[in-house]
Amino acid sequence: MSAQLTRRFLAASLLNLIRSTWELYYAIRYLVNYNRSTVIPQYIGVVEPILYTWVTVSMFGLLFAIGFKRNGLWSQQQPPQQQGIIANSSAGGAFTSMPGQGIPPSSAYVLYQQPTQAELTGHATSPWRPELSGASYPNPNQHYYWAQHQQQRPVVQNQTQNAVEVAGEPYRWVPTDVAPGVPVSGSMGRLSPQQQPQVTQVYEVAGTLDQKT
Amino acid sequence: MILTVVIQVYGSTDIPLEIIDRLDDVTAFLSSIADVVILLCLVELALSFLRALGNDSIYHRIIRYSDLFAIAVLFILAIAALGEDEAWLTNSDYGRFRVSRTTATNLYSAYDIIYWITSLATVSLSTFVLYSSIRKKHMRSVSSAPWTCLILLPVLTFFPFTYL
Repeated sequence: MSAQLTRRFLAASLLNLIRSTWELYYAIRYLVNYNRSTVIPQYIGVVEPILYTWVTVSMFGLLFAIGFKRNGLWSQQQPPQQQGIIANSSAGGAFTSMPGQGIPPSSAYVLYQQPTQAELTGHATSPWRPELSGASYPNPNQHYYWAQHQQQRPVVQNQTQNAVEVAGEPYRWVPTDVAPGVPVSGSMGRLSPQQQPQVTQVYEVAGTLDQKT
Repeated sequence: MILTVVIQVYGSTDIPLEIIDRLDDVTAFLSSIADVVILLCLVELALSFLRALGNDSIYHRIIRYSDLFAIAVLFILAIAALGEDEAWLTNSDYGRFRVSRTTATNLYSAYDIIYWITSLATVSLSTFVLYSSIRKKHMRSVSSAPWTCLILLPVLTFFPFTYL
């Protein structure tokens, strides 16, 4: 909630105080102990619309401005998860600030970074993930995940390789920074790009295809 | 056309003025109801702002009940003033008889005084809402200002005694 709404609210309250002050002045000056000889001057009829009617209209305008759907009280905000992703991608992320140090990410982050089966198999109909297509360089922690994932499921490697071939995009080799605590097997070394595709590249290719379609 | 119909019904031109005066009283009553609703709207909006800002307190319930009590009092005063004014119009035959109107005007004055007090409290509440909003905005970026104050406070406190 922005401070502008609360400022508008304070302004509306001040306008309400102005009109009530005018009413109080009029009541104390002319209504208390009213008698038949009391004569109300003509300037009251001039000041009354200024200090009561116009102020009331202005106050209603402020209250409507508070309640507007756009930049108002009921305006829709971005969900917090998407905001976190945007902040992470714009600022480089908490993990990308320490490349290669091998700090294992949290379980929630790993779960978020896990690709779906459709992305691993390389189908072009995989769901579009804009937060991954916007990354121009791989996250080292994704390589960390890839190392874990390769040890558990070596069959997926051929599927992802096929996915790269299907996509028809030239494969770029990105240096792999594996976390020091992760055991690296012989098949997980710095192999040729044809033998060792990166999951992040599959993300980029799939995202590019979806973006083109 | 309406004036003609009224003159034909009542047979006098003074009757429309009385009707206008009665309608004026009804207008003042409806305006009072609108004021009460505005007061309720402002207070509930302020409490909602505070709740959205995470400033939840037991005093909010007290504020809400106090506001409802003031609204009930204002509503009763508005009804009483309307009834008293209408009675004055009826009994005084539109001012021809010497019937005092002091009670009705005092009721209107009491209404205005109470409403001014509640609107003053509403301004205080909205100022507190703005203060809470700004404070929360500043608390998002935690600075070292409180620690600096904690360090400087004893220094500034005992600094005048260094001359002794």
